[in-house]
Formats: sequence, C-alpha cells, structure tokens
Amino acid sequence: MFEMLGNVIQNLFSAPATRPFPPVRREPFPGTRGQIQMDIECCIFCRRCEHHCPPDAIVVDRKDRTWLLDPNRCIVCGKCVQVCPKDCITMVGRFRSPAKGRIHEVRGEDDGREGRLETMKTTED
Amino acid sequence: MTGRTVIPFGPQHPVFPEPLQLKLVLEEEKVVEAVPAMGYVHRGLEKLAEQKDFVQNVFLVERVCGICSFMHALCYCEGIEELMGIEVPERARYLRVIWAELSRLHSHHLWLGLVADALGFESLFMQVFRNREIIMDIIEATSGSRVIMGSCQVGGVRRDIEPSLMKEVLRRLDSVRYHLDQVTPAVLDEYTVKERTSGLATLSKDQAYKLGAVGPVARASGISLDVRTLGYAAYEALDFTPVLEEAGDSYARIVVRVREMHQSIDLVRQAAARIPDGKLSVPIKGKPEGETVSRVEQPRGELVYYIRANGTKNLERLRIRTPTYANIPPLLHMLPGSQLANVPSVVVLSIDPCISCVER
Amino acid sequence: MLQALELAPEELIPRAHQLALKGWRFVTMTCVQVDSGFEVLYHFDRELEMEHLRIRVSKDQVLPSITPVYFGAFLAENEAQDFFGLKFENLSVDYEGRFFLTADSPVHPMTRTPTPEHGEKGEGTRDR
Repeated sequence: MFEMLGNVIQNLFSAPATRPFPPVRREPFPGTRGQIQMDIECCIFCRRCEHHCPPDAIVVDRKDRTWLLDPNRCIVCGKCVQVCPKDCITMVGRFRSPAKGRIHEVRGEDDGREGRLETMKTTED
Repeated sequence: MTGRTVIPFGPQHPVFPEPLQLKLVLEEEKVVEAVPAMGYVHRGLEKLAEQKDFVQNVFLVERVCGICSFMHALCYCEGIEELMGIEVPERARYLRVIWAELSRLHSHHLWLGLVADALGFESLFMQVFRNREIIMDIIEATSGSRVIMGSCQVGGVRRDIEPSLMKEVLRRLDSVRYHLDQVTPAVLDEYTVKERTSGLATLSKDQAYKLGAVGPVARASGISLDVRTLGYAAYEALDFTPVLEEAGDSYARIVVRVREMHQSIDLVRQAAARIPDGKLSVPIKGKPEGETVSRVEQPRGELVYYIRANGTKNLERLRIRTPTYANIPPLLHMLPGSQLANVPSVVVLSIDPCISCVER
Repeated sequence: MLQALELAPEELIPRAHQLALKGWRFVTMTCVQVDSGFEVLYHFDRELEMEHLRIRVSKDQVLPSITPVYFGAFLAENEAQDFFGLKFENLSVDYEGRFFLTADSPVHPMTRTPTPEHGEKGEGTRDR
C-alpha cells in the first residue's frame, strides 16, 4: 500500500500539468505551421504556388493581378512557401481564429492598389 | 432454450475512437456471432489519388489517418522512389526513422490511454495522455504540426532537425522515459488489469496466421512478423529485435505494445547518435512508370501500398491495405464467447482499431 | 513490372490451396480497371517474401472467391464488388454491394465511368 505514497506526495506538492489557457498561452515553436500570410507587393504572378498547391486553394489571375487563397481549402502544408521564387508567402505560427461567418471581405491595407487579398471575416476583426 | 438478441454496437460509442458498427448476436450476455457494418468514414481517397499529381499525393495519403499519418507518407514515398529509381540521402533516411518511431510512440500512448479509459482506470489514462503531450511537443517542434507532420516528400524530407534541436529532443525523451517507467508497473503488474484481460480474446498462433493477423496482434501470438526487419529507410543500420509474446490473449497484446514503446525510445536514441550530415532531399526528374508494392511497419502492423503508374503525372492505381484491414477477421474470430461488457475494452481495443484507415 | 504469375480464373482456387498448405498468408487483393475489363492481383507473403498472382477478367465474368481458403479475403472482395462491380461466387460473407457504399452513393465509383445516383455527370474535386 505504501508504494503509492511517494507518488501521492509528489502529486500533491508539484505544479499542475496543465496551463491556465486562455489567459496563459504557449508561444508557438519556430516553424509551426499555423496560417499562410502573403505580401502582395512583391508577387510577380508567376502562378507557381497555384500549380503546386495540393488542394487547389490558391487562384492567381495574371491579367487582373489578383491572388486569392481560399482558407477553407488550405491545408497549411507550406508547399507554396517552399516554391515561391520571391519568398512573398510566409508561414506564421499562430493559428487562424474561428470564423464568425462566411463573408468575403477585402483586407484594408491593399485597397486602392492593384493587388487584393481575399479572406474570411474572423473573430479577431 | 435461451433466446437470442441482436444488439447494434456502435457506430457512436463513448469508448471507440472511430465509428464502427458491430451487430452482436447475444445469448444472455455472451456474444455468439458478430457481423461488422462499415462505411461511416469512407472518403474515396483512392479515387482522388488518381486525379492528383503524384507529388501532391503525399499530402493526400497523409490524411488517410491521423494517428499513423507519417507512415502512410513514408510508404508512398518509398514506393514512388523505387519506381523512379531515386536514391534518398542518408541523413533523410535517419530523419525518417526518427519521425516514424516518434509516430509509433505517440500512437501507442494514445492506445494505452484509450484502453485504460475503457477499463475504467481513469488515472492511468490521465497520466499516459500527459506523457503523450511531451511527445506531441517534440513532434511539433521538429516537424511543424502535432499530428499531420508533412515532413516527408518524394526524394527525401522537407525539414531538418538541427543538432541543438536534437539535443532538446533527447532531453525531452528522457522525461518521457522516466514517466513511462513509472507507468509500466501500474499497467503490467496491476491485479485488476491482469484479471480483466488475461485469458480473454485468445488467438492461437495457428489461427492468427491463417486469418492474416499483422502487427502486435500477430506478435502477441508468437508470430515473428515485423516489416522493419526488411531494412527500409535506415532500419538496417539500427539493431533491434521484434517483441514477441506467446500467450495470444489481450494481456499479451498490452505487454507487446508497452515493450514496443520502450523499444521506440531506444531506436530514436540510436538514430540520433548515428545520423550523418548531408543533403535532405534530391530533386525529382521524370515521371513514374510501372508497378510496385511497398511495405512499412505502422504502429498497428504491416502497411502495404500497391502503386501502378503509366508514365504520366497521375497514377493509374493506388491501393492501400492498412493493418486494421487485416486485423478485422481475427477480431470477428475473437468476439464469439466473450461477455458483452468486455467487448469494447478487452476485445475491440486490443487490436487497436483505426477505422478511418480501413475505409480510407 | 511486378513478378506476377498469370492465371486463368479456374486455376485460382487450386493455387490458393497450394499456397495455404505451404504456409503463405494472404496480404490483399487489388483490382485495376484496364481497357479489356479488369486485372485482379492477389498478393501473398511468407516470411517477408511476397508472391503475386494476376488474373485478367472481362467486365461481366464471375470470379471464384478464395474465402473458403482464406477467410480474411472477404473484406477485399466485398470492396471490389462495391467499387468495381466485380462478381464473385461462394463469397462467405456477402454484403451484396453495401459494404462501404449506401443506397444513394454513386454506382461503381472506382471505375472510369461511375454512374452518379442523381443523374448528373459527376465532377472531379473542384467545386468552384
């Protein structure tokens, strides 16, 4: 019976095994695949990312100069990050927030210019 | 004259990780016959694989199953590399072994936690899952994602584990080993676990071989069948022997898997000590042509891929035979004669079912 | 190409009995659609060495089932029945086309021309 005693005392006086999420969050590891981010300024519309994307989530139009990523299809594999010749596409460690609705919206900082990035309205907006 | 009742067991059940329906014919709490009904997670992945590029198919086959996803990618890459005559660099082969053994470790932890939960041993379930979190952190730090690793590609691997990260991995594995050593007597020497699982759901060596059992189910009945001894990836440079038990009952399967967990930690340490420097992958030229069969040892047994290609960028046929597919006939043989209360925990979970692998 | 022994459908069961006596275990069965019908491959293994059998059948030919010899083959044969429309005789556990598929699934989905249930032509994966 007393074999358990060491374990019991250890469990009583050691720190809990879980962290109090959501107030305390863990920083993502370097290289964690969270979500795709795109810098539309440097895109040369070579369409290599569209060709290599496994679930066909990226649609590039060279004439209209648009680059669209469907976040519902994206499997965050990082193939586009690997093949982009100008390194415009980057992988960020933080995951996407849950989506509130299916509204396609144009992100603010690029309107007025030639390139657009279409995405979904999330709980962070 | 006792009447017979037919009870549909599943598809939703708190203890099964995946939907499987078993129609059990009972005579007063004892199972007399069992008929499986499947198809709840069929996604048609073999058909989809014929429409995608052979390079993009790696991402597709990874998603056949969440628990054993790296092995699917590894088996597929081995098959395509054999068809195209690609020689994978040494460092990539050792990295593949490290990820494969980490995959096996986390799968066996998951299984042990589920069995403990099914038997009612909640505190063991909590401890094992806490230990599993350390392994998931290692996998996330080295490959980018907790479950679907995405690190294998045709021709090599996509990412590297630098020496500093490797040291950190080994340090965390020491802590996994320490907790595992504490948990092992609580599983193997525990009176309740032994009473509930010994002598039940027995498969003799002859029956297991005839019915086509693979993996720990076969090794617990005394059949020495471990595809790692073929020497794919870097396994020919590592030394290990397949874990065997003779009894063939549920308890023997638990013992085999717990000993395999210890063996996996040793294999990762061996691979990390012997890994050479070098390139991570070679570029691919050309298209695959011909047909081949490639095999890999998944946590649940032998995984077989039949790949047929005709010189274009789409494959002509991709056939996946997963180990749970081969273990279902032994399960149907084990069920008659067992008590209804033992069906989920002692019988079904002892083969480690992965129904999404069966139905792709 | 794989080293496979070509057999006629009648030779399958005697050959399977021989393999079972010599200690080969059944691994799986693959069905591939070719222009003249189907090519059915049987894979066996003994001590990590593999042997393959290849049988060519036309679309409506009936194959003898090897479940009397190897019970474990009933899963693969029911799957081939569902997906390709291969016909077997003497199948010990016969789901008659409802193993993985339901009444409202496409008919014979793995063939090159599956019949969708609702009468529209089935598209690939893009739904844009």
